[in-house]
Amino acid sequence: MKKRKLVMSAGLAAVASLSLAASVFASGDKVKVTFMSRDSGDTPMAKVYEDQIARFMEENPDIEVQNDSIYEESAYNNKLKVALSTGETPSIFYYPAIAGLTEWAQNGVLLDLTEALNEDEEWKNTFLDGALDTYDLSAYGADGIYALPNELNVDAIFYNKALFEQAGITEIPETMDDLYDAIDKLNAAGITPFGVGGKNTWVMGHIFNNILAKRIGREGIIQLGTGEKKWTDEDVVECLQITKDLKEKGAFAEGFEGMDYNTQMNQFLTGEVAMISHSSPIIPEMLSSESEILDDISFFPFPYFEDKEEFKDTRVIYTSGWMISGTMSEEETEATLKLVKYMTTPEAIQERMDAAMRVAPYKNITAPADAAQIFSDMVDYTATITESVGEYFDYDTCSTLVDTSRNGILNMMLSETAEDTAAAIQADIDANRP
Amino acid sequence: MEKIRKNKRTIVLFLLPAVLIYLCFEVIPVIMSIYFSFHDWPGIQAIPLEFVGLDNYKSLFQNKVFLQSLKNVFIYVIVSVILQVPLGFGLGLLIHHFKKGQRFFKAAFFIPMILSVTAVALLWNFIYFPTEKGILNSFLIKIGLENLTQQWLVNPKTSLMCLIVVSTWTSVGYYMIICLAGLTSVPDSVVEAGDLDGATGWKKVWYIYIPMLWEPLKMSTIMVITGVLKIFDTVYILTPTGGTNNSTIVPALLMYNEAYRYGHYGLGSAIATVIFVLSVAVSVFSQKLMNRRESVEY
Repeated sequence: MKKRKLVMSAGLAAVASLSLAASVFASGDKVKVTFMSRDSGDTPMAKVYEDQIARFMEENPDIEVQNDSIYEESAYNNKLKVALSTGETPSIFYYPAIAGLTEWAQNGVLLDLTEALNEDEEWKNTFLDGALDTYDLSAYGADGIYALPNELNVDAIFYNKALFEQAGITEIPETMDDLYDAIDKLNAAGITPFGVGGKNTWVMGHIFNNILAKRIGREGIIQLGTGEKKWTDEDVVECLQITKDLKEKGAFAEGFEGMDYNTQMNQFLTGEVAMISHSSPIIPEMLSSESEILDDISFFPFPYFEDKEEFKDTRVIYTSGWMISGTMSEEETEATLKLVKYMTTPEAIQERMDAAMRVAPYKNITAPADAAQIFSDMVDYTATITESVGEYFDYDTCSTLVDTSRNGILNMMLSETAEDTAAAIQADIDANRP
Repeated sequence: MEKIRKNKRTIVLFLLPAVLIYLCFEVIPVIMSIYFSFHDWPGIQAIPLEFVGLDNYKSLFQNKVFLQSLKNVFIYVIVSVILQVPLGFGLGLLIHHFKKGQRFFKAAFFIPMILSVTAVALLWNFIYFPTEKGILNSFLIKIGLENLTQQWLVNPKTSLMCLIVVSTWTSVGYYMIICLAGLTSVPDSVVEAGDLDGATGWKKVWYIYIPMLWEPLKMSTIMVITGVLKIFDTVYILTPTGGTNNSTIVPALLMYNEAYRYGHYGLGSAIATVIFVLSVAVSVFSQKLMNRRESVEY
């Protein structure tokens, strides 16, 4: 009996060891690259990524690409943070930060792409002029380019033409005074001007960011991030006050502070509100909805302040990029760069734009001929932008700023003063900025 | 069979998987969390841990948001204990007393417990919707109490209570089931003796059921306390930012933000340790308090 048990155990152990060895050898020949984006599941972009990765593996049988993409934001962030903390950094990944990448860059988590880009001028030239500078972290103490810009989220005000006509607004607002007039006219016609899901604090955060861009400009926002300017400075407090005053002017629906983003979108797509402040990725989302007002939707740039004409052309664009792991072996780095280059050829980028209608920071990319008018207009509009700026916290190394400021802005809309809000945000920065 | 059951090696062998799982997923993380709480670490493997002693705890207890979160969670605990246990046991007694529709009511009250937190949150979002389209607001308008309509989850005066109501609605069925299970061990003879002695209504509850259900009551109270001290999901889904002016912030939400959003793993671990110590302390204290009253067994 004992003998039989021993033989059985030995047999089981042998089978287990052999299958383990077989799996090791099976993947041992291939270099493994992990790709982690926020596009997964049934989204058009996810499908294109999957196709491109499959084609790449077919052309490069020695490389195995594992697509670990996760759509849901907090699940994505949690997985990425765990990967970083255990040293299992994905080969290619996305993270919404610029200055916030500095610590990762300084500690070798991210690959400095300067050399790879300089070695391949043709590849480097596919990016829009200045686009690569977005991820140049020299100003924050990490010399080099630490990510590749991949998508542009161009901010604009999307509006319902029919509701504008109904309210007697014949021209789109170019200045903030025009916008205030439009708000008055819409209110007089019984139409809620803006749909705002205040519960998702980024919505008010985006409106404030546009006001900031139009009053203190790109340089001002960068100075705010680097600490040369303070939130308690008069001009920044003024921006907070202008944001708060929008509520007093009746720009938002009653109770907007407790509504969520889905309600905001529902209100806009059912013609209940006239405008939303959003960015270009909303276009495919709106077009894939069953809204009956799609033909009435268009957009205009965020208005400027007549007394700050110097910032008239400063536009808010949120760049999202691909970060490359700096902890890989030479072989893995080579394979990863090969994949990245494959996915940034003009054909690959055009394929993604055609399928998913996302504006990309690359040269010679055009909207497909059969694209919806609003998307073609967005691509054309993006080409006219000469000065852009991202989100104020992109330029700040304080990791808590995004929450503190956005929560602060929402509290301000409810009760706090602009001065107190600015003081609270500055205090948080002073306590937490590295 | 008896021989196998008495064999210590067999006992150890069968207990080992459970002990290993408990060690790996409960004991070791708690110890590691305490260890991390004395260090500063941004969550990057390439950066070594930096020993900072009690600095994380010092900054924690100087942090107004953390103190607010402690205040909120204590209110949450007290109100939850007051609401959840009596309501759950009250429902249990009612269902036990009125035999008609027992299965229906058991299922009806227990269903919220098996729903996912996200589904529950979505449902209550409709109820608490801030305009007149919200179920609660529209109900108030219909009954002529328009002046009571609120932005329920936004108003700092109502938001925490709204969350407590959601937790209570979700959990009450669970304590009802515990009560019903406890009632099966109450001998009919005792109840009948009470009847003969003239015990009716509240007297029956007070002198027969409560003493005889004392153990399940104790267990339920401790479960409410420990469950609420580490509450996260309901708060995160209904008020992801911790509410207006941190009106609904709780330590677990703060811990999540510090560790996973801001990369302050040391501080996050310190919060986790405080939650752990509080859970143990409050549980022991409440158990001691409830042990003063002897439970009755037959």
